[in-house]
Amino acid sequence: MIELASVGKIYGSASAPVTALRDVNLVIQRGEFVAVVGPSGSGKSTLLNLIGCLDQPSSGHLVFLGEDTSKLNDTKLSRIRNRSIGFVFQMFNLVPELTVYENIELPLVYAGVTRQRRALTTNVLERVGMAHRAEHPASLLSGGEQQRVAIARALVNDPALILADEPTGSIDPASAEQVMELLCELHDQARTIVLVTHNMSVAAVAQRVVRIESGTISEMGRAVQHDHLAPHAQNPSAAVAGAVE
Amino acid sequence: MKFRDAILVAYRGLTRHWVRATLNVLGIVAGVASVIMLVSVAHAVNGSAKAAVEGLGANLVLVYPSGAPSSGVQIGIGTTSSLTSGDVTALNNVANVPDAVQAVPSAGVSANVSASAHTWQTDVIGTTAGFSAARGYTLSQGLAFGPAAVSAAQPVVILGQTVARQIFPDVSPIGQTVLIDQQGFKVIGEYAARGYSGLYNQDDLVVMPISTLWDQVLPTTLPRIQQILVQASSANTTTNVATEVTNTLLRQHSITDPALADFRVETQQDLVAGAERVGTVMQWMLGAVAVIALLTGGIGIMSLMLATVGERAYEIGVRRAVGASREDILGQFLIEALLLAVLGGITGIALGFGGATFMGDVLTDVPAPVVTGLAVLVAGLVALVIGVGAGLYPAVRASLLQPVEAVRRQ
Repeated sequence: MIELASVGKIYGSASAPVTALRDVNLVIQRGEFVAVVGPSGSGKSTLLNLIGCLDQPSSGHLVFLGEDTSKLNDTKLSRIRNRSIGFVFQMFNLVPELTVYENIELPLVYAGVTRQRRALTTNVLERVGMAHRAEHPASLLSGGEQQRVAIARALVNDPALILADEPTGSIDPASAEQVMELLCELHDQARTIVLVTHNMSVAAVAQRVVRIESGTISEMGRAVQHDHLAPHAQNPSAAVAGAVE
Repeated sequence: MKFRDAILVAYRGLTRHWVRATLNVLGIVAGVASVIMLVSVAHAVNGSAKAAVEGLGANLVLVYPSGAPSSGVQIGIGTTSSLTSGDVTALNNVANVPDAVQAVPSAGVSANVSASAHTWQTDVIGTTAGFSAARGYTLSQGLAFGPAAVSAAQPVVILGQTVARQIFPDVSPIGQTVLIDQQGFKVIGEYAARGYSGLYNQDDLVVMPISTLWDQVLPTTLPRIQQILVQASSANTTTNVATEVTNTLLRQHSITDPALADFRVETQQDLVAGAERVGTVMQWMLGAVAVIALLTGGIGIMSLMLATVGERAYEIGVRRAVGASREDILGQFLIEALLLAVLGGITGIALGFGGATFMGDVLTDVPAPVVTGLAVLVAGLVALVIGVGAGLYPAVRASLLQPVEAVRRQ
């Protein structure tokens, strides 16, 4: 589904370059649950932003669903983000001025969905258990609630890929457990999940762990083919409970 | 993204940042309202100045006394009395001014006119029998005075409609006596109403023989003529009449160099053209002031929108992450600017209308402002152009924000 070939990412000016990623080669299969781990500043968020088409590699190629993203224009990249990717960020990244409902329907608005919008939005709202908060301003929710809204927003366009950047990093343990359960459920529904975390216990829920240090992949777990006996499937709650301690 | 949604997104953006939106709108409102009000005031003043000159009468050439410029100081109009009864006689001579119908001298003073309990301040004009014809007045009742009354300085007056109403609200003024400076004058006629000419109420006057004015109303000052109205035979001959009048008076006053003339001759067209020129200049000046006001509003909008883009970088990043393209973001900010401009434009037009009407109602001494469709159209268009123009650069800046950078700015 996603293929990175010698991907590098350099920030900053030509005179003072900061290398965030260097020669990264990675293949993520459809339906995989991959955890990217590493210390702060190792480049794992950069990797996630590249995979999510929020940013473009400085070198190398990133192929997403068979298309080289470096050859796509802004409109096409926006379309990929809109239709094929759902983002879950550490800080939730909801638009604080909008209500819960309005936040969740945003991807549908940009997708041009009109007739089914209400049904789809209500559906994911119920799925994350936030229907009772639909008309609340997003800024007034607790962290855990905001993250559930963010997951609902990530789901509303039914994307094939969910990218989660430290989704449990800013919420309480009980909420973290709910969020991880939701992610596991989504994986069970054949979605590809890439999760960035520095917490090894959270990473343990994934089928495969990719470790990044100083912008390069230092260790890559074995790619797991479509396997219904992924670790979390056996006992997700236990794994998560351990993860958030 | 559907267009309806684009409007909705922009509308939400504005309502959720309503303080900023209100400030933006106020800038446009003030600009548009001032354009409309200033231009309509200029238009009205222009129109009234023109109407005032046109209201003088038909095909007139006006002669004013003026100080000879030889001393280097031009003495103000009407302070000297270089025009004499002899001049009037000369101008009435067909041999001198063949294209004129008649020449009518006049002098005036502002005075209180009273009868029984009623007093009214008005212009008392001394003139000759030809005044009514030259100025286009007709009698609604009574009689005019003839040349005999002028030569005998008879104490008779003709009242303008307004004066008649004020002093004799209940009875016919004909045959009544009015007091001007404790002197009694017999009312022999009343002019039919003519209404306003620009700012000037043409019915607010009392007319008497010029000799009567000199002898009984202004006995202590030297008799003088403030103006001679020369009525041309037609509109086409006014220029000829002006030349003939000038030559006659130069001869009368034994002046050889026209530059040293102690009188001034103006045709009605000159005055209309002068009034129009002044009016046009005024319209442009006020228009420029108003456009500057609008521009200031536009600059305000631009700086507010730029600050908005900075503050909303996070929101922009989130929108980009969930699939908004550059065009979507550009559209959102442009539509926000457009909505502000339209809202400000409409409010400004309404306020301009209201302000102009209010000015017309409250300030009765100045002409009521005339709101023209052109002023509204121009103000509206300028508001639109400035609003969208001011919104364009910030919108482009917003659309060029990299989604990843925008998301990082929490």
